[in-house]
Amino acid sequence: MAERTIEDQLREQYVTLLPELTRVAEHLKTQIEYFLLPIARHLKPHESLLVKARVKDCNSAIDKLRRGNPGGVFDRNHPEIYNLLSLRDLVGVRVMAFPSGRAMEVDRLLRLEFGDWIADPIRDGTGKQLAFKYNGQYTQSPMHWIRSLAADLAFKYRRYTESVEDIPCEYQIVSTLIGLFWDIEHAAIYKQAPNLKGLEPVMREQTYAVYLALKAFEDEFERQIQISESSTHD
Amino acid sequence: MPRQSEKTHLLDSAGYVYNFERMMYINRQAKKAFSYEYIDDNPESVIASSIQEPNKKQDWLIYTNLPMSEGTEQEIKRVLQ
Repeated sequence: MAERTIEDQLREQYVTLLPELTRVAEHLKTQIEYFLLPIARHLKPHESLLVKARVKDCNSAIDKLRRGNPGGVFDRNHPEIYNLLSLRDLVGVRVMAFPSGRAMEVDRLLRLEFGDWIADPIRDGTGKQLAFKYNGQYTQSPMHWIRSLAADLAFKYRRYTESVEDIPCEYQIVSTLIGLFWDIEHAAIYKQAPNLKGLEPVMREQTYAVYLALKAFEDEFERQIQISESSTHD
Repeated sequence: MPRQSEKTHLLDSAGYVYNFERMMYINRQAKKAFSYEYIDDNPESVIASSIQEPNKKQDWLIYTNLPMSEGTEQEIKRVLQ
């Protein structure tokens, strides 16, 4: 009989977790959309706010665990050290806002609700912040969700049943232009072939050039809107 | 923006090729490999002397920032063969 590999073990864990991951993703997305209603109701015609949820797919999750090790290999002597629940972005929600001033407002509003999630901002190569990112955990309940003020730094929802499993989640807030660029970069390139993820570091300079161009576009757009609005009010 | 190109130029001219599956710069003839993080975090002078360091063993010489477990080292050597 063929030997059971670490990948087999992780695939089994993924299949077991998937229904719960899907529910948590939907729950977090709905919760965020609800909290953002005060902004969404008052968007101007040229502004946008988009909330997307995703569960990391099985191959990407296994690949990310593997890449966490030197040489991108698993230590086959210690299969017990690998657990998909150690990935902080197993469930993710991305809020894309345009223009970037709206992204700041979104961040302020969500911090009121998720104040105990851990901040881990995404930065470009120069250290400038590109997006807000926060990590937390959910414990899923099939019947209802009970918010517990547990000592750890995350929202915790106690399960109705005896078994409790914390699901790591993250939410990001990013300008729409950069968010859509990430959608293309990640979905069109790396998702088709997770092994190409290793190209990311060597593409850093080119990626940074894209960020600069998108930021310049956004800044100029906002400047023109401000000029136009101030001339209307005069 | 800090440029990687000066460091990668050193590696290119010493016959190292970036392998994006392993995220390592590898020279099969010299039987040496550098993790991307090792290149990223160390100055050019350290990288240059690591490149110059002779591999006296017949085995692979692997440079990483963090110490590797025995199992990880074995697995890297296995996939590099």
